Amino acid sequence: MSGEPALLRVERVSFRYRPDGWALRDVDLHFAAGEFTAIIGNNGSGKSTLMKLLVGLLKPTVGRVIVDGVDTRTARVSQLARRVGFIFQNPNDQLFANTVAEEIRFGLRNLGLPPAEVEARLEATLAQFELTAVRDLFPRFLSRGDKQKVCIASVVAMQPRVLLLDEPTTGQDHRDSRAIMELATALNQQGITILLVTHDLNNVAAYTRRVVVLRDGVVVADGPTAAVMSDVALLEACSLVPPQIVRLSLGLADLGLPLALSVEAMEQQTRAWLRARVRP
Amino acid sequence: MTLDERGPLGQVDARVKLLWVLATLLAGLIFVQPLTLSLLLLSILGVAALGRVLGATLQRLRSFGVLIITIGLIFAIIVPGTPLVRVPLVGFDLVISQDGLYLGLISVLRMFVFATPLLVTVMTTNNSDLIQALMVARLPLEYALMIVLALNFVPLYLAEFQRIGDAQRARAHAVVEQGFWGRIRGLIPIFVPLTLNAIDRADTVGKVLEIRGFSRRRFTPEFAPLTGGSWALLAVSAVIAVVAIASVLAGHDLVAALVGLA
Amino acid sequence: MPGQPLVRLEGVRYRYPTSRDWVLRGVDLTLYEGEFVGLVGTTGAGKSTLCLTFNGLIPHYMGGVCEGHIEVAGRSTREQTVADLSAQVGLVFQDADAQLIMSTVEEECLLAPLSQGLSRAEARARAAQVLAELNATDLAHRAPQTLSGGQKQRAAIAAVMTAQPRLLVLDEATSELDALSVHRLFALCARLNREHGTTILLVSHEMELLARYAHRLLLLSEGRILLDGPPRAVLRELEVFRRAGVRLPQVAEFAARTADCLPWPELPLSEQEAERLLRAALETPE
Repeated sequence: MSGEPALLRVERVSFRYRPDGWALRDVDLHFAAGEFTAIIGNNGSGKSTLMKLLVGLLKPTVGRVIVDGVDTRTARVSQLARRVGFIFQNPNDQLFANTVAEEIRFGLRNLGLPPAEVEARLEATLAQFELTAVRDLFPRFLSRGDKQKVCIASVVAMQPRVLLLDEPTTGQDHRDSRAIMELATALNQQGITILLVTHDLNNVAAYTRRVVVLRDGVVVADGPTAAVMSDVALLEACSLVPPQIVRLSLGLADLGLPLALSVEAMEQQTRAWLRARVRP
Repeated sequence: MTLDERGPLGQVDARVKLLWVLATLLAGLIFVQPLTLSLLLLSILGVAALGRVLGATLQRLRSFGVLIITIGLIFAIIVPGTPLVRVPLVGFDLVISQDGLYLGLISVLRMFVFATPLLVTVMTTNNSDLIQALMVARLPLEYALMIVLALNFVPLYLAEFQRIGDAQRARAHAVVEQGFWGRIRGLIPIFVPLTLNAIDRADTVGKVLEIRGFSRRRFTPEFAPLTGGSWALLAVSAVIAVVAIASVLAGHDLVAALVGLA
Repeated sequence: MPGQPLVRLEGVRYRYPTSRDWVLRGVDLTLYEGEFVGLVGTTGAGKSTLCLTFNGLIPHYMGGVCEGHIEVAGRSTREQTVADLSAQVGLVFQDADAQLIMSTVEEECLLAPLSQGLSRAEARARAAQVLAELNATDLAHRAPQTLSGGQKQRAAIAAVMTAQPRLLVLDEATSELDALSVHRLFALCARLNREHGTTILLVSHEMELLARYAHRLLLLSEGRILLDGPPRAVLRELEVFRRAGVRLPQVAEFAARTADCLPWPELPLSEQEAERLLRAALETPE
């Protein structure tokens, strides 16, 4: 990491909704530009609260959150929106316009962009997300996966530096879930920082590079995906179960097989291991 | 909206609670003096306190209370009359008139009188008892069910309203436009998803009602004998209704007269 | 192990009143008493629609065009009402909030027995019994809005189980829950199946858990059942699953992908099985 300060800084943040209990306690996290990070934990662990603090929907009770140089306590959500995009779990909570194109224009107009710029970004976004064919359709009638894609497109069009995805694959079938994770990967490769809150550890293991684990409002682990995913005791203490392929891979570690985070990786490593075994 | 802890009011017969709602509604419509309305409101809060749900009632009234008081203040500002306070603003003076404040006070008290008993009743009554009580009032099952389900889903809609609002604010949406229509336009991105989600939910609710056998069920209302608490609330309701009707017949506010004598 | 046929579908085709496309395009399916069946498929494959045919919501409530023959416990669903059928088939939906319409869990559990004509006292006794069986007695007097997602689904299951159905259908009831609640719900279904002989049909995307718990897997795609059989047989069909857009459990996929270089004597359904099979194969001296 360079000397440049992190893009998102959560500095000694505590938060409570009511006086009688902390939802987050003394959370200190930095996210650098270009990261692809998962935030995991069971319901009530505080991960949704953390997300809302990062977009300014909640303001810290103690401590401060700095987004791209801006303190969230002094900025309005609509001002922060040009820096951080937030995709909510259920596309139905967001889609309201009568066409896909209008849905994408919505955020752009909210930024106060001139009409020519709005149209230019709309066209670019439709092309980037392969939504040109459905541009005049009613978004609510699209498939669940396509709805989620429209939501992401409408936020990415605003050109945020960070994208926060809250349970983007929950309730989705495998095909849609995979499409969304590949979309997130592509956006990350274009330089957008991705923070992903999810229950789906298969996706976490296969796609992210860093994992933050929350339990009862406290960060209990933070490190490279491989390290966190292979800490079975820690995950189980948080009522989380590592992906099946990781468990298999850990079980076979004594044979000299390296840790695999996805089925594809496991296959490659097994083949390599078999080749190495044949010629001693 | 029903509370987990329904307290003694949970034991009171739903029919009696509905009568109490009607009696307070009647009195709230008849009386106009702030003193009488205040006493009426006190009696309502007293019932809530005896039922050990005063805290929960006030907590739920808080968000609603802001709205009511705002409406009261608007009255105070727009009704002309003897000026009471003059707030100099750019270009014009904001005048709060005595008559406006008086009218505002009455409207605030009245709205609290109307809302509180309904809230207390819904909070302390099981939905099926409420349905039964509404059916005793000769409401067909479908309508009784509709009213109760609408009330039942209020907290869900409030949470959803909040969530959808957050989702749109995260897309830089802010209701900043001026004027009535501007504000309405600003609410479209929230109300459209809210309505469509409600329709989706109604579809599941319809199936669930069918599965639970509502369509063929002939509800035969079944009530337990009235308990002491029920009789007490019935007496309170009767007193309120009788005094209110007597005041109409006498042509003046009997409560205010009585307080005046004392 | 399978008992008497409980639900039988023959050549069932269905389309919704608002659509010209058939959602079910010729489904033949028999569910037997005592089975634990997993139903998988992509969104739009017709899984929810199929679930609605079991208790008569299709065609009685949904309308539309329904062809073919559907019978539950030997009688055509056309001759029975949805309320009658709910004593045979309990259906739990994905949206937990929409299924709890009363102000307490107990009240919710009284609806079905009362509509079956039980007295209030009898209905209460049955509700108490079902809640106890589901370890949900502590939820009886709770208001649904105060429950967690997992508790809501448990309450919804209790509400349908009070009708004493022989088949319990869960239509993606786990898809909004966190990992712990999903595991608990699967375990609960397995227990109902084992201890009470309740037939279970579970629609889910949780392939690893389905492979572990289900006796039988159905793969639905574009309104047709493509595969039907025990998980160990069905999950061999990597290509069929891929075409249908459904993934395999991770160890099964690993086994399928490495079939050319590793000697898998049978398809592993859990990581423990996979580990055992692999060790046996790899540790044998060349």
